[in-house]
Amino acid sequence: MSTHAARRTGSVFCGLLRQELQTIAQYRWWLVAMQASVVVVPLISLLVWRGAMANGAEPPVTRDYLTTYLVLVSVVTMLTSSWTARFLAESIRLGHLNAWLVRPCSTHLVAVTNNVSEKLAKLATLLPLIVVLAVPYHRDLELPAHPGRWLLFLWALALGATMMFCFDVIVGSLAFWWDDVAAVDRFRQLAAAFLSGALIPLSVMPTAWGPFLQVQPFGYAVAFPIQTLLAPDAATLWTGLAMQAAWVLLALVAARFVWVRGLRRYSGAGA
Amino acid sequence: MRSPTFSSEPAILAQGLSKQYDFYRQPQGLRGALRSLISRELTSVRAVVGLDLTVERGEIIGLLGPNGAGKTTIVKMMSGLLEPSTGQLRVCGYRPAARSYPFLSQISVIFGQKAMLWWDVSTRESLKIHRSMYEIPRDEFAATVGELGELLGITEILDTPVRNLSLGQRMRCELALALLHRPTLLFADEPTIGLDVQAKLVVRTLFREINRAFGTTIVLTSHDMSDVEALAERVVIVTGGRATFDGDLAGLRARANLQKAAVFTYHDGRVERVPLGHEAIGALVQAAAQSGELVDFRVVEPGLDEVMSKVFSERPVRS
Repeated sequence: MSTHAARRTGSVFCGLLRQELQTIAQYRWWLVAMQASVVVVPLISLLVWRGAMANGAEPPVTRDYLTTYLVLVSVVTMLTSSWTARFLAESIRLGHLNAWLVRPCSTHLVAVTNNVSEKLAKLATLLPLIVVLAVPYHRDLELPAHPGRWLLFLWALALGATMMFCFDVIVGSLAFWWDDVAAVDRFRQLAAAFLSGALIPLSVMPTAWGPFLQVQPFGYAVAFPIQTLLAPDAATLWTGLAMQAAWVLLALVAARFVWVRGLRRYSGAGA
Repeated sequence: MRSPTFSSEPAILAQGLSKQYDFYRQPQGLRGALRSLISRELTSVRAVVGLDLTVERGEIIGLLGPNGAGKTTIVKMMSGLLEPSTGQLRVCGYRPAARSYPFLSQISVIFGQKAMLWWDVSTRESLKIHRSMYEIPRDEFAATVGELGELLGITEILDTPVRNLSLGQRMRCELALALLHRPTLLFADEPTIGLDVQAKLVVRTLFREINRAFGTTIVLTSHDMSDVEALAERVVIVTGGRATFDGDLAGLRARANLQKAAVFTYHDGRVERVPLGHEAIGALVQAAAQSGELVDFRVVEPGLDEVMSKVFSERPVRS
């Protein structure tokens, strides 16, 4: 992409972002209710784990690690999640994609801005809830003070979000071939929830699963970004960064391939 | 305002253009549905067959045909939505299916049945997004919005959320969005659907004006024959995926070969319509005068709707 095209795309992105935020402002109560529900799962996990440890359970990680992880997990899960697949599949099936395909702009830009704008709005509502959640456990929270570690965390978050968005585009694009991709999307969401570490930290899963958990992609969307804040050793960190970059690259290439092949089959239903 | 860039190449050049859709046939009833779980029947439909068409820059053509004739598929191929199965297609000098920026920034598509405007925000916000997308300078943007707002009578509703507009208001705002970047080529699919008589006139005047002032090529698909009559200098009739007529409206009337009719109105309110053959008019009037007190007499051409109906009925068998 040339500098000129990048500047144009940036300008359209900003315009769409402003518009999305205006729309979100009209549905603000939905946003608050949704974020309250996002905090509930890690809160329950936190209470269960701390209760189990108080009664003598010995997980393979420390109480501080577990507390910090479960306080952060809702924010990280929200920031790296994507919800484009269902909408993309619907616009392919019903022909709503027509309106975007005739515009001189990437069809996915609107989905990207929708993701970014909702995340900004959700962050504004989620952070106060997280602070409320963190207050009773602040003595057990282990967060780094070094800005470099936070930059690394932001980098891992951005790559995790990119990868999940690409997976969404791949699943949504299957609608070029299949009438209903809901089952595939549900399966992918289930796999992501379980294997990303959003429900249960990967570090407390059976040791025998270790090799598999290290190579599967979903862990690089939630568990790994949190890991960058939880004092990992250098080897684990660099391996993780390389694996995450490889998965993101693969996801980008696969999403582009499926999208371009799918467009050739597009029938633009309706007018 | 910007004027489109001109080139000697025709606006549209199609040679042997065809499009085939493949889909699985949906069997009837529960038994059929269960059977389709094991084996499905793949069906192919040729929506467009060997279309040759050249549209010069600055022309207004009406692409007409009965439902399912293939005209929408043709427009979709020309606007880059669909990739042709076979044949050559160049639009504004580009291959539409490649969907390049120079191509997409020269065309505009008005879908009468599908919205281009963003639903939850005002028309002005949608226009601003298009300003960035088409790289329209700010001062030119302000001037064009002002001009289109006045012409289409939408200045007062530019800041109203689109979801709160009536169908007619929304259609006029859709037109403003489509014309903002002064496209070289405009595909207008049912552009006056939902508009009242006055608004239809405004739209037709606007189309004629942009065609005259900027040489904008317009491809019109419409079931409203008054749109066609008012705008199209040339009509292409598509039936069964093939172009079965390409010429002007006079040629189309000649092709339909429908008779004129004499309409007699009597003092008691009766109206009689007599198809005109080779009889002398004077004799017809004399005969009519004998059956009552004649107050009016007119010779009428067959309406374009009747002409179309006749031409559409000459439908070739779809392969």
